Amino acid sequence: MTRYVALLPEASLAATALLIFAALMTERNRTARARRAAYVGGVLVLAASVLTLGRSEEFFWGAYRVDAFSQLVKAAVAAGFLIGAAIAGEGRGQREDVRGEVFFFLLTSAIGLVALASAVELLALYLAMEIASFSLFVLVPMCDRCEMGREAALKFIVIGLAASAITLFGLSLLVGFTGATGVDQIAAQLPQLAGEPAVMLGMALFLAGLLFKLAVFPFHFWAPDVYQAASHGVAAFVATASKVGAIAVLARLVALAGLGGTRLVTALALIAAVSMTLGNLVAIVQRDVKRMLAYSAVAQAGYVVVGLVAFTRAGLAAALFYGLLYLLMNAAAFLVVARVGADGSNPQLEDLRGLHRRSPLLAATLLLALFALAGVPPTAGFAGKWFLFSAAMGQGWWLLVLLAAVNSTVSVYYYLVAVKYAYLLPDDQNRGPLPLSFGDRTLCYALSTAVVVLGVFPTALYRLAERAAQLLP
Amino acid sequence: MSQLPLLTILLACPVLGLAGILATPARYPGAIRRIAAASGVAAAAVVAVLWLRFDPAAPGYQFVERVPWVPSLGIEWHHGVDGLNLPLLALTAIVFLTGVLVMWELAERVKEYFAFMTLLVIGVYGVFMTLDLFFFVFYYEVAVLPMYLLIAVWGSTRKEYGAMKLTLYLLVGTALVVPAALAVYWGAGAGSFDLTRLAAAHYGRGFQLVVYPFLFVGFGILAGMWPLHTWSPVGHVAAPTAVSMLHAGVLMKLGAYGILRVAMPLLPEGAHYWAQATAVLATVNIVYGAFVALAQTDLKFVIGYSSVSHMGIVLLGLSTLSEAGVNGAVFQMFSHGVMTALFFAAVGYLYDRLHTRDIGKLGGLSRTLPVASAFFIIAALTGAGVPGFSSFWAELLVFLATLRTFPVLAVIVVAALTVTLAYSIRVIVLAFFGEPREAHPGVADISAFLALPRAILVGFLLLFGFAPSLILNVIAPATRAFVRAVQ
Repeated sequence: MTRYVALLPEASLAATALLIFAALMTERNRTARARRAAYVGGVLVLAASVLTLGRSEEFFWGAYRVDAFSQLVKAAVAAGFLIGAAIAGEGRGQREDVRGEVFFFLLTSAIGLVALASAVELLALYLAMEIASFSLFVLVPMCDRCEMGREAALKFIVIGLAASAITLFGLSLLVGFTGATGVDQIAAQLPQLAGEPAVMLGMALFLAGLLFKLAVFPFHFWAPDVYQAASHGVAAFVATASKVGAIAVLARLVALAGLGGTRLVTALALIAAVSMTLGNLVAIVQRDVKRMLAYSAVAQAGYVVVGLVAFTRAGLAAALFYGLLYLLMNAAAFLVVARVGADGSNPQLEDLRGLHRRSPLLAATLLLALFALAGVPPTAGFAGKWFLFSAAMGQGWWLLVLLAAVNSTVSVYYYLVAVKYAYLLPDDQNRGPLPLSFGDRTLCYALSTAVVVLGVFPTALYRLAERAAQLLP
Repeated sequence: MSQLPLLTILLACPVLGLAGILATPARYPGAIRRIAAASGVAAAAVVAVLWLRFDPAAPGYQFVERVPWVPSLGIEWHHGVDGLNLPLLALTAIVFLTGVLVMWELAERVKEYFAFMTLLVIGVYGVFMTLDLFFFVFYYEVAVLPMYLLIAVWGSTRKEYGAMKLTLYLLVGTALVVPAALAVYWGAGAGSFDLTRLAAAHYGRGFQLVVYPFLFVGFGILAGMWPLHTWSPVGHVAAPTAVSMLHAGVLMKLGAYGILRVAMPLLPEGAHYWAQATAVLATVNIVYGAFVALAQTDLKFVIGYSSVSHMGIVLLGLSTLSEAGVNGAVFQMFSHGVMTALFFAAVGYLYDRLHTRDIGKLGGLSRTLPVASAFFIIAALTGAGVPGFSSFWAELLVFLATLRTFPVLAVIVVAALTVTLAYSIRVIVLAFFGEPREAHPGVADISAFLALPRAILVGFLLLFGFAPSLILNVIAPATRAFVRAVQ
């Protein structure tokens, strides 16, 4: 029986889902109640994931594996969910009648992501991915900017379903050639099948589905629209928890032996190169902060792929490590965006003017978050990028690393432009100070501290990531 | 040797200062200033202890501290001091402390200003003491980024443009340094970022020839290397006084120090192969900087271009890869740091009071503001290489070394020295002597309190001008070991 303790995070998720559901049934204060239930549930899941970090179990005939890797990712997903819920707050920017439901669908998406971290069987993996995606398909059109929301939602759904179809087709090829659905069994057979074009095609198509979730070029088209149209909380969730989930599966897939040295690696490297360059260049011309963050996310995903193309444990660990850091720094950035656009509107760069006077804490948080995204020390982004690039350099990808380093410099430009608005340009509309709730202040301090402390003392978290990476097949 | 981790304590001074500044509410600017000054004094005291306890005769690094940081990647908290970085630590202590004092009158956004300035100094100290390549680049970038805000918020003349240009140029430098550093790490195959181990490893000749330019140019950009120097005068002109002091005085040395500590010892064959090319670039720096300085009308631009010219002397000394040359280069780093700090401090006072730096509008200042003018004139004389000031010895060493290694370049450089003399005298005569061109009623000469930091700087110029052996005795043994290792 004790082995079922390992499923504690999943159990708490299910309980939270019921709790939120019950809260939504009530008449008065349903949004506030759902929110509180979400906070409690999020904390529970986070605690459960951390507590079960040392566990190692398999369930459902080897389809569902609990190990340090999966629990680390689950903890990250829980953190992302909490942050998304906190940013959604009272639900401004959401349609009036569904403000409570947002928490429910955020949670179901988190359930999918959590399952994704543990799934080691292709069908389970696919199912988990779809649970995570479909909840988001519902969430995006729930914002009150209806026109934009509908368009973005449609784009998201259509591209998402196309990606699912592609993934399924890829899966069918893999299953057909290997006769197995377990990730381990397939990995064992891949070396002999590496020369088989259909297997490579299957892998490539499967990969494409994942790259869609990660919003890497050429599968990134939905990201800017969704970021812009979705309410702040939902966008934050997509940008943090969902990203970590995608990185996790991608890491699992990449760890499948026999990929190194094939054309697929070259394709991944190219994708990384174009993603970084395109994301950074397009981000420069954005005026909408959320759109800018979306394009920066495309570039950031490119950096992660740089680590993955190394196809080494160090590369996987670095990618995982960076994914966790990315969650923190992006959460900080989105928190500032959400509070500057407190009425639910999307802040433009102009709206950041005079932020250092209106709220020194938000300005400082934004500064640290953007510096972290740019990879500037003492923030965690520097160590994260260093580990990623180092792993790729170790496998001789020097040109890719050089390009990535140049890209980091390019990215500093638009991050600095945002910093310039926040710190330098005076507020021309004389808006008053931005009041922050106690919870927001705490979150600001916590995220800023985490971003700096992990930059100077990356060891503990990196060790965890290393340990998790060792458990991949 | 002492058991106290003196270098970590030194680093802790600005770190605690920063924490104190952040914890103090912005409505107490006086307290914030005092905290910044206190951290500067504490750091200077620690450096003084280091200097006194330092044994020049002992080989290798002293006060070494080693703690594994990320063991699986070979990153260590690894500090150490030798004759090459001790003078630079001292320089940092001097310039930061005087910089804080010079900015005592700052009234606008005091808390943020001193917070960023302290953060910058943490980076500078870190670079000068670390012996781990990861932390080297880490601190290097810590020092670069606050610069943007310091210039963009508190600067003058085209500050946003200057700040952005400076930041992007310097980050292009790191974009070259980071891949090169990683390549060296994997090339050594030791699984360690320890600079001493990386220096002991062997790299193929082809590898060295390719990677060395990346490191040299990457670090060289921060050292103001021609033709990638254009950020420097623009940035210095735009920056507020203490930031100009720190930037020209200390930060540009980070670039030269990177070449000295990372590029050359790790890739000696590359250094020898490219020495001629880098020497030519350095000569262009010296000549070009001097000529352009001759044509400037803004006092700060004169200093900015003179820095380009003087940093050329540092690069030239390094390029000779000889004992005298490297001795001169390190001495010049220190001496130029103090001198430029004095330059900018002097101009800063004049600009604060007269609201102009245009040579055409000044004139006769030595009569109205004798003390404030004296500081500038002393700096200008030092820059011109007048005996009695420390730069004289530093430049002399570099010229002698160049004469031996690159005789043709030496002739050019010595000829350029007359241009240096010319722009120094031109500025002195036009701005400080002759008839006052514009009346500046009610402008008082510099107060004793504000004169103090400037006087400290003058003191160091004179001290090492009359007793160069005080510093050369520290530098020379380390240089000997350095040159032997690089041969």
